[in-house]
Amino acid sequence: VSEASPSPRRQPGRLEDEVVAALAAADGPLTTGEVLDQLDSGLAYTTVMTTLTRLYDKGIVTRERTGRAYAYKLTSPESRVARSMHGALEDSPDRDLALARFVDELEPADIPLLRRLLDQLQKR
Amino acid sequence: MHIAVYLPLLTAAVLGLTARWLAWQLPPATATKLITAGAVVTSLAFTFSLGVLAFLLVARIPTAAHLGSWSVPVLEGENPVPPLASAAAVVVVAGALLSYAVTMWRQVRAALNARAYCARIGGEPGRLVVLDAEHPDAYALSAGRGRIVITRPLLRMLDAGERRALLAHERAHLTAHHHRYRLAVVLAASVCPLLRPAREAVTYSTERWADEVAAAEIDDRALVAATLARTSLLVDAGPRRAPVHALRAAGPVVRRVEALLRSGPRQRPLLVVAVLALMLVSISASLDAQHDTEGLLEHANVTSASGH
Repeated sequence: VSEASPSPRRQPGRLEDEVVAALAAADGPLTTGEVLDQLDSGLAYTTVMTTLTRLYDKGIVTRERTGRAYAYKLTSPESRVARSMHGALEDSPDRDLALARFVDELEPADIPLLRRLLDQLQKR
Repeated sequence: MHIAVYLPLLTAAVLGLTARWLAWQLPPATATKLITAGAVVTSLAFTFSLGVLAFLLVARIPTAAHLGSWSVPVLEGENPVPPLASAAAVVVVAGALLSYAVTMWRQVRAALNARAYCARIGGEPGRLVVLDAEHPDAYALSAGRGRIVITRPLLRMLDAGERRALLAHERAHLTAHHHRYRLAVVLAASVCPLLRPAREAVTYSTERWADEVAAAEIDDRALVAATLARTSLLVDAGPRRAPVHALRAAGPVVRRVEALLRSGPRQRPLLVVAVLALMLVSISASLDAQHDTEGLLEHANVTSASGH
């Protein structure tokens, strides 16, 4: 198949986009093999696996173990926001102060919600 | 001077009238570059010629004549341009400058909005961002270093090959910087209304260009054609697009599909030479008008110096 294709090797960015598009089109999480089936191209299993790992490292996809393999899905917008909030906090020179400022500027409606979530976290 | 000063109006009109036809006839990348370059050159020559015409009237105003130490009688006697033409030029030049400023302001504002939108949706430069929107939609954002935006409903309606074709098309818009050509033509048309059809022509030719890049990349013209037909129907069916837009888009989409189903585009060297000649006529006519005007002013200056 690779001989018939005029483009010798696809750039990693293009492949990542195709994988993301395939995951977005799917009904649920996909294993590496299922992603490979959804790509319409004679790619090697390992190439797709590498791509998925790279997307996972970037936080673009999340994964869960299903049997022996991982199943991947796109990171939800909510988790992406949470991730970037954590990232910003890690990057701040004074973590405690940054967190205190963040709490200071909370919307009044968010306070009971946050309190309940913290309570739940403590009980666990 | 008599004719030269009006020639850029003619060349702009010719380019404006033939732009759409050129976009159909020429290979898309050639068409895009040629029409854009032609529009920029003819719009500059157009503005310059009108500027000369307007100046010839303004120079006769006693205060202006005094500042330039020109003789008003000489300017009036030897000026081949009728005052009415000059008066019209003053109005058109003022309108052109105002229109340019307004267009520029709108473009800057749109670019800032796009940049803010880009920051909001996240993603990496030049890469796909999937939006959980309600309706099928796909577009390339030029802000920042660009994003490809496709909504999840559209991705779900396409199969693997179609997704690849769509991605290749949108990516081609970004890698070939199609927004720059479109911006240049929009600005050119803002100063020279005769060039307005060139905007539509370049929009069409850049779409065709992206189609051809996608067809070469995935090596399947029929698949790109099918994807284009399907996505345009799916996207237009969404309530976010006005019906007027859908109707106007229908023509070019059919034409693009037909072009993809034929073999690759042929080069048309004669057409290219013709447009380049048109640009050359524009430039030399402007230079000629400038030369003659300088001569006239010099003459008026000498006369005023010896007369007093």
